[in-house]
Amino acid sequence: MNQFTAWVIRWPKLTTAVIVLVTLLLASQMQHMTIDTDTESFIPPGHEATLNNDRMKAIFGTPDLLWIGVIRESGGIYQRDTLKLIRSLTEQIRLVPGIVDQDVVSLSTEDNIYGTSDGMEVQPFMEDLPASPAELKKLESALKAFDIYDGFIVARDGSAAAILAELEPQELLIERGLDKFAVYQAVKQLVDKASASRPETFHVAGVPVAEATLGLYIQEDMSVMLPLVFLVLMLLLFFTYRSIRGVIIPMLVVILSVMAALGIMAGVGVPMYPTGTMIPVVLMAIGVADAIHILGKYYELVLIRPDADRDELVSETMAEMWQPVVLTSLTTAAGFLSFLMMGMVPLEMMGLFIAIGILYAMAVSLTLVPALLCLLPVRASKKLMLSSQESGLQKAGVIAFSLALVGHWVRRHHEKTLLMTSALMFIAAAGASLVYVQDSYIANFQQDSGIVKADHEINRRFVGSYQRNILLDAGSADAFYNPELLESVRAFQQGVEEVAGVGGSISIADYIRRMHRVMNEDRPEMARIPDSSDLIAQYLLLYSFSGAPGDFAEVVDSEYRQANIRIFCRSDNFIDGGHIEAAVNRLAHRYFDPLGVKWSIAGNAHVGHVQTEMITDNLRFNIMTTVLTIFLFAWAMMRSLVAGLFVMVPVLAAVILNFAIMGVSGVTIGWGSSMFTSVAICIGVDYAIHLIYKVKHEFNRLQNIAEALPLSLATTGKTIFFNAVVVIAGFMVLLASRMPPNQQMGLLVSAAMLSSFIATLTVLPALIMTARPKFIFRGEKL
Amino acid sequence: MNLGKIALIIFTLSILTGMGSVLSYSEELTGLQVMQRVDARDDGDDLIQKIHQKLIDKRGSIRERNMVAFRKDYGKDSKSISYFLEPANILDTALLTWDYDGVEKDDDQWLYLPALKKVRRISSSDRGDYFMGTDFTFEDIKQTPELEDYNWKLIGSERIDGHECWVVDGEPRTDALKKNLGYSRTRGYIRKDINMNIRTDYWDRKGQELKHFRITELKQIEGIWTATAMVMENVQTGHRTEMNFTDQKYNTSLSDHTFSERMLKRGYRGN
Repeated sequence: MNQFTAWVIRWPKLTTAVIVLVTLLLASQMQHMTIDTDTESFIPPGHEATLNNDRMKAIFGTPDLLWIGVIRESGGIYQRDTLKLIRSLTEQIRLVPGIVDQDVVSLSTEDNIYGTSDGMEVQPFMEDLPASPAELKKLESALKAFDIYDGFIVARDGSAAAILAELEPQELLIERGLDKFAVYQAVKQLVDKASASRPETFHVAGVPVAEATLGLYIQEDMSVMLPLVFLVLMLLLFFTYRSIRGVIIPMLVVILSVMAALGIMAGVGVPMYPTGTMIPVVLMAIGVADAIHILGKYYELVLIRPDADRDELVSETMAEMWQPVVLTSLTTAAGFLSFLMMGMVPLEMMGLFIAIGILYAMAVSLTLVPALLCLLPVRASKKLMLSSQESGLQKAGVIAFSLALVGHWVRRHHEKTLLMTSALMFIAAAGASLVYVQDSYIANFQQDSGIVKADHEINRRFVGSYQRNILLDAGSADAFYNPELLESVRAFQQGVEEVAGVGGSISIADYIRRMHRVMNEDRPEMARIPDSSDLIAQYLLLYSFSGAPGDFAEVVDSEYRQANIRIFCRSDNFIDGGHIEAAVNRLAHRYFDPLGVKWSIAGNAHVGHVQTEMITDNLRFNIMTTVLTIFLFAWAMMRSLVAGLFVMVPVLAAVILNFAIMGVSGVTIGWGSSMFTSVAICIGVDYAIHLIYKVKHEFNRLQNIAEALPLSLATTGKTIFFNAVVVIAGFMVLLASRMPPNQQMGLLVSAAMLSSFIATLTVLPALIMTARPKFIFRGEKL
Repeated sequence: MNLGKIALIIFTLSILTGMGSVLSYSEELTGLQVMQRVDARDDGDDLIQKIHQKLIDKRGSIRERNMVAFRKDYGKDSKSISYFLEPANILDTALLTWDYDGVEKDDDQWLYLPALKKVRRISSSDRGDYFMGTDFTFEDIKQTPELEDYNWKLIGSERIDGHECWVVDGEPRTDALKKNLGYSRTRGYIRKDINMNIRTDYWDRKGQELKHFRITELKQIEGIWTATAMVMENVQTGHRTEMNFTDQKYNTSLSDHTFSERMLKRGYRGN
């Protein structure tokens, strides 16, 4: 290694050129980058939830509905002008490219099924616009009496009406050069135009809206916020080192490693997932650390021997630093590689390419950094130099002085420190126990944003925009003419509709009940399943003369072998979802198992739930594998079991603190926040490794722990402090973001750095003093 | 120039103009004329036939129905009655239709439901509504569309399966009609030798291709050209309807009594 450094020092310009060229070559691959924001990509292909969802889409169509809510507070929607507006808006939306024309549903598209003295009539609710108050009243009571539509296309209190638009399947959209967001925008534009100087208020919500907008907003927001973070990092580095070099070198390490990681990613054809935003974020925190530690050592030497030959100083710096840099990089990379065991492609790829970026940052730190140090002139503050030479490194500046004091104090009161830390851990444990799993797509938006408001209004007034679907397979054709099975479907729906958060449900049984009622003089008590399957078949035939062939396509297949019960839920939050899923499972076992009907759950709300469940279930496993991987690595590299344990202790303390910060600040475990614990572990372990190396090094030199410890804190500790301050301040910028997930990221990265920093500078020295481990004290003279 | 010369020039011009119009006689019919020929084609005064209906969805699952159907023309109007034979759960269900020419008067339809033992009147439907869950709309199922509702345009000629055909585009005259029919455009292929429409393509209101209609088997029965197999496929949904017609009997002088409510309830007795 020393020979390698010597080579770099001899050819600094060549080294710089080679590194920059290689990086640019890799970065040129970034033009092939593809983006994948499909939320379903989190679930491994072949997982039951995705298979069921695909099956549902193939048989019954996609449940990705846009909900357009038209609300008229004063007097309700049963007013001629409002109905006219609903009709014209419906017609316009039907013609939007990317919307399935015949699957747009509203007051003006749907048919009423009603009885007359001599038959069953299936006619539009609004053949002509109702004009007189009596006609308006008649329309209102017709909808009130039709339980499928009451609450679905009109609010039960008559204050609002909904237009539901189904999007074409993703593949077809792509074929037409469209995406969900473009379709949403087109619809939104029509709605905005229609709403001009109208008394009604309008809202557009639905899963496609949240999905399309979130991915876009996060990326948009990140592309503004990330440069800002970058800028703050640079400013802080400048104030820390008071030199351009102090800014350029760490930033180059970060930039080059991000470019290389993303370039390689694009080059091998891995798409950019939503988790991809984490790659530059983590590389910023870690890449800065490598460079700062090398710079720190270099400055330390400059302060002691300002007149020494520059190349010699660089060579000495690298001789001492290459080991901790390599060790920290390899352990951290190994930690991120443990993400490969998570089973979720976007998280696996995030871990893999962060690891690649870290290794690249290591390579850059070992080559470009010394090369640049040789090329750029040495300059250090005269004042610092003077004080260092007079009274030693421990008094070089306020920070070093304070940290040295901390070192002295911890050395003298190491048992007390450990006890105090223990107390802190107990308090933190209480805070950490407040953390629970909760996630919701819509919670990712700001509470006062239009999307959240729309979601709130629409889910308050209608049955709910989040769908769960129960797919039933009775095994033989015409099974859904069977009254007994239809009766079970009915009972199942009644049970599910009682669960909190469920707004309503629709199945083929509801249509048949409706037909039976209207064929029996519209007597409400006849809204039940008839006893004869022949009668059911004949009702459906009768219906087919005036209804469209696709009228029941969403609830039953053409053979009447498979059916789809659509359950509408009012929110997608994880906890409510858990209750609903449990009830659905329980009721399905009760009503369908005895009949030998196979059932499975699908729908966007279910897929979202399964996804969150997988991520959060995986969290325990993920924390444990990361901890274990790093421990084994540290053990192997430092050739000491105890050293491995020592490296882990501050990290574990940091994780506990991190969870406590999450608990106290109300951050729940969701798919965004769950990654941070492992990321915190991976970042935090570096600090411990650097400090352990330094203490060992200084002890070997001084043979006196009372001197070695404060000195280590004043030097390496100071570097860790700088590193932490710079990164924390940088990421605090994200708190100003308008996207809650990005705010969370800012908070959690900062928290991870802070807790690692505190734990490393207090717990680790106290532990060393108390346990006096052999891997440091091996050469001690008694 | 004297008057004689002027008269000569005018005379020459008149001859040339006259010959010009003689020589520029039309070699082709207009679109409307072609469609009128289709409308006027002999399809018998009455007909009895068996109909086998196959509804096939995009996954290939099939639903089948068997019917026997009676039809009688009353000038431009017609009456028909169909008895369902299969599947068993709709056996004896029967449909009576009185079909009136033009759009002024809605057609009348009654359905007899044996499970209820009652006749139910079926509300008049939009012409663009689908017929009994098939891919045919009420408009498609008629022998010819209402000619005055479309602008017909002859596009040219094309050879289809060895037969010369006129290619005629039809565009519903108004936006309201387009909405009502569900089409923005149709393109029909009419065999010149027998004046029969053997294939039609349909475009929806967004201008996207919607359906393909094809006559797949054609026979002369009792001297009348008869489609014995046809298919209508919705290219957007992948759903298609196949119809086979057998046991045709033309011009058996069906009595008016055949198309009554009493016969509807009595059911098919195999005559």
